[in-house]
Amino acid sequence: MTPFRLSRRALLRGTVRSSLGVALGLPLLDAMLNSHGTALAAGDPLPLRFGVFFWGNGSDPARWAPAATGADWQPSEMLQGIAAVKDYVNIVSGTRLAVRGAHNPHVEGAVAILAGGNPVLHPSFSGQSNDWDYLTVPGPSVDQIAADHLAGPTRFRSIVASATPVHTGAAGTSSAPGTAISYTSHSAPFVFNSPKTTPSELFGYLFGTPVGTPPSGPDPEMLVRADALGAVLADANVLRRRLGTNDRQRLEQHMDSVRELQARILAMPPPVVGACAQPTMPTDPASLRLKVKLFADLIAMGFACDLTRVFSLQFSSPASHVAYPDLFPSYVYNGTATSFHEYEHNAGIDETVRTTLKYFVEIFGSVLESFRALPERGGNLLDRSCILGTSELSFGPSHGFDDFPILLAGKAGGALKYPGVHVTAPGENAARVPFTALKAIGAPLASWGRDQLLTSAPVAELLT
Amino acid sequence: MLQPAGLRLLTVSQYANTIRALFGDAALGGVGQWRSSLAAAQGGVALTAVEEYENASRALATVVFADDARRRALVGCTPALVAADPCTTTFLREFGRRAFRRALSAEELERYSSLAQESARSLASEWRGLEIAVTALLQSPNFLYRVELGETDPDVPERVRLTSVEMATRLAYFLWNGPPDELLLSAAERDELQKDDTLRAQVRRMLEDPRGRAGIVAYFADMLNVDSLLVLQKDPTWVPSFTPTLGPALREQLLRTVENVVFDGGGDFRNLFDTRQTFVNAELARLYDLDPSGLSDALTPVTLPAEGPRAGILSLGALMALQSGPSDTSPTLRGKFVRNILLCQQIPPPPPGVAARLPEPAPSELVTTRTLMSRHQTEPRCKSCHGFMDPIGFALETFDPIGKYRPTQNGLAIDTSGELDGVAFADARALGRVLREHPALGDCFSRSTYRYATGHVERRGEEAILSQVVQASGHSIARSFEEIALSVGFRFAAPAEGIGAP
Repeated sequence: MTPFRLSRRALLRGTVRSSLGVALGLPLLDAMLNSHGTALAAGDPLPLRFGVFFWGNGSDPARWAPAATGADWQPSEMLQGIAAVKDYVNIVSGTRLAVRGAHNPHVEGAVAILAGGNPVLHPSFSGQSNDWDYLTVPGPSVDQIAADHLAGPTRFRSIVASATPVHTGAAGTSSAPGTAISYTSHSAPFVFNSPKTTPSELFGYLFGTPVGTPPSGPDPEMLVRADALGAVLADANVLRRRLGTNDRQRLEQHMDSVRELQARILAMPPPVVGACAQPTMPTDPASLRLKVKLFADLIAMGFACDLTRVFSLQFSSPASHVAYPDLFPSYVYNGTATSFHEYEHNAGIDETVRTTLKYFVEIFGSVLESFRALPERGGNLLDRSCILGTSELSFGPSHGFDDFPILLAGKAGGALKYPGVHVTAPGENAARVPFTALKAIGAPLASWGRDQLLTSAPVAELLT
Repeated sequence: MLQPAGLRLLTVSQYANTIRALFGDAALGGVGQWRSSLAAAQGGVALTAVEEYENASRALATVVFADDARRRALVGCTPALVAADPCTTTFLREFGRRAFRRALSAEELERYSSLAQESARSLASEWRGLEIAVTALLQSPNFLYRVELGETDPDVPERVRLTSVEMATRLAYFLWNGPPDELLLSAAERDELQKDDTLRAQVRRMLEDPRGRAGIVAYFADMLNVDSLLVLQKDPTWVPSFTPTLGPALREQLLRTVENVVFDGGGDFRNLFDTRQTFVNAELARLYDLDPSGLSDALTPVTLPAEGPRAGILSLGALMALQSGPSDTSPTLRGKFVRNILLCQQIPPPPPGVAARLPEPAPSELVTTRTLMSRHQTEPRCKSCHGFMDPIGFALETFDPIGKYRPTQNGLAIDTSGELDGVAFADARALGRVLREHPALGDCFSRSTYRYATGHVERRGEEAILSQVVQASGHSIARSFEEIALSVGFRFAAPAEGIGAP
């Protein structure tokens, strides 16, 4: 059974509706105008932050786990890329991600580790049960649960970005969980957040309204925008009474987002404190390595400025149906270039594949370094962050799920061990690690996940 | 036996067409959550899409209302900051009816009039007040969704029938992929879309209208997922002839070829699989080894050579490029496409834990993809599924990842022979001929059109409706659209569960 919890969205719905419902065009929302307040003023507690970093197609389980456990672990071959930030990294090795084998393994794995459940099929798609396009997650992904708990008054509930395009091919530009983890960043089945796909796009989104703009009283342009959304909400409120349960839920989710946008329009820019500064507009690079670095720098600054407290950053989609030209101009097999995914299936774990798998972790390491680089009250952003790094399966060639690759970085305000430890948990449910992350940020959950992935046991050795 | 009707979000292309119908030449591409009609009928709307809708409606209204000539043409009177301004009310009543595809209620009219007037005061501009009301109308669920809820059918009380006004919207987005025109909406307001004869007359009018061509083509675009070609990327090292213009040109070629078969070539869907009539521009002519001289960027009709390697839509570059990797072909993807999309057959997923590793040839002993994948056809647990897919794809191996003809691979001859459900073929063109006579083809065509029309996958209880449609349509595409529009499944629905619950 899913424990009852009152989401931030539900709270938002209550407050905004009561203030706006009857007040079209009237002086708006004293509470809203101050909503950002002074969360980061000197002396007040700093917020916690949460992130997910995802890469597609797993790792090499034989070269993943460090030899030693506890705090004395040294990076294994696969983990070389996080050596520079190893004090901030916790490792749980040996877990198993239990999937059912009813659908595409890449979809099942992504949904299992990020949403703690099995892919579900909308009842209306009964004839299409094997099509990625018609699968969805059973509930919100871990980043969105974290956002329920952490987002508070921030302008952006969460940031969703992807360094590589969702793959085309059989599923086309589909938004299925096999092609983008952003699909799992939502509030319910069949609601997915499209990722920002370039640093310049993310810059415009986060910093298009520059930080540090002094409040100059209510802007009439913003007030009429919010009023227009008020009329939309009023229309929906009439319509909802005529709908069945399913459509009513769809409409309410839609309107939750309308309220969220309305609140953002009315919110004042946050005060500039600490390392917060308006970044410069980035130039989108060709290199994926540089692209992720720019994404991470922007998100880290978004954290420092308290514009957002949650991110989901996809390096590559489940299955890795892309090439990595940072490393190799092409992945050539039988005289033809192919994607990393096809190459690994065909070639197995060879030197080319190992180099690529190490590169995935190196990219994660560089993301962590972006957060460590920004100081905050005598420490850095990693001190108050909890960042999950993982993939959808453990071993690409056979779609294996044993010895699952999963890392948990950051101190989470002291909730996670520092320096980070290596814990072995042979055969244990891999979903315990995302659950540990949620516990580390103080999410009030007694359990997480569904069906065979359900867990109520965080990995105690990681928690202080 | 029926399924509930309800809210159907406008697809990306329906949103664009609806905006165009409201504002003339205004173009807003790529806005919305879902491209697929089925997904839009079932899926949700995320914050990112809500942001897109808000940005798009503000951008559009700003442009229209900043231009004095345009705003006067749209509004037709001059708004004034007076209580109950008649211009504001008249404009919002008329524009609102077109935006919502039904008359506004008194409460709605009051809401949008107040919004316009309050905004006009805040911004000290009557025109800007109307602009804000327009941005709100374009974000209302009554605009963004097709609201198809139905009313209790007096003859069969356990089902609902779509009202005439709801039928206008349902017909228009099915047959035109856009909003109803004034003729259809006023016929609906006269309650003429529930009776067989007047309904059929409207359906025939709509199919004969130029918008009917666009509407049926939009169905094929949805079914074949061709919008993916707009963002398709190929590895430039290995597919150097792929250019940013090629994907869109291939998409356009496929849709023009389909349109030609449907409207100018007799309308028999079987002809899609062996037609030699197509359209090329200079770039496509080079791709197909045709003479590009005299050709420009514009597509021009052409007849493919009678003895050439290709005919029918399957072997055009569009589907070959979509059903391939970034630099290599995929017989499995191509075969799966034929099974799933053209024959409505399902293939189960690969079993977990199976190592898919293929034998690695030495660089000096490169083989064909067919040889490389031979294990799929010999190992029983692979063959049980791949046996249904790969042989179809092998017939298409003479077309590279963008559909260019290649007689050999790695210097070796390509074996394109095989069989489809017991009927042998020698190559891609023969595969097209086998496919056109496949017993599942016609059933699948009507089935996927029915899904597109109703927004759900049929249940067992709807099989009788489908058989009737298939029988009445023969091999005619347009007839199938007409029969579906007249069918019980399109005009009636099960009552939705949970109406009126808190």
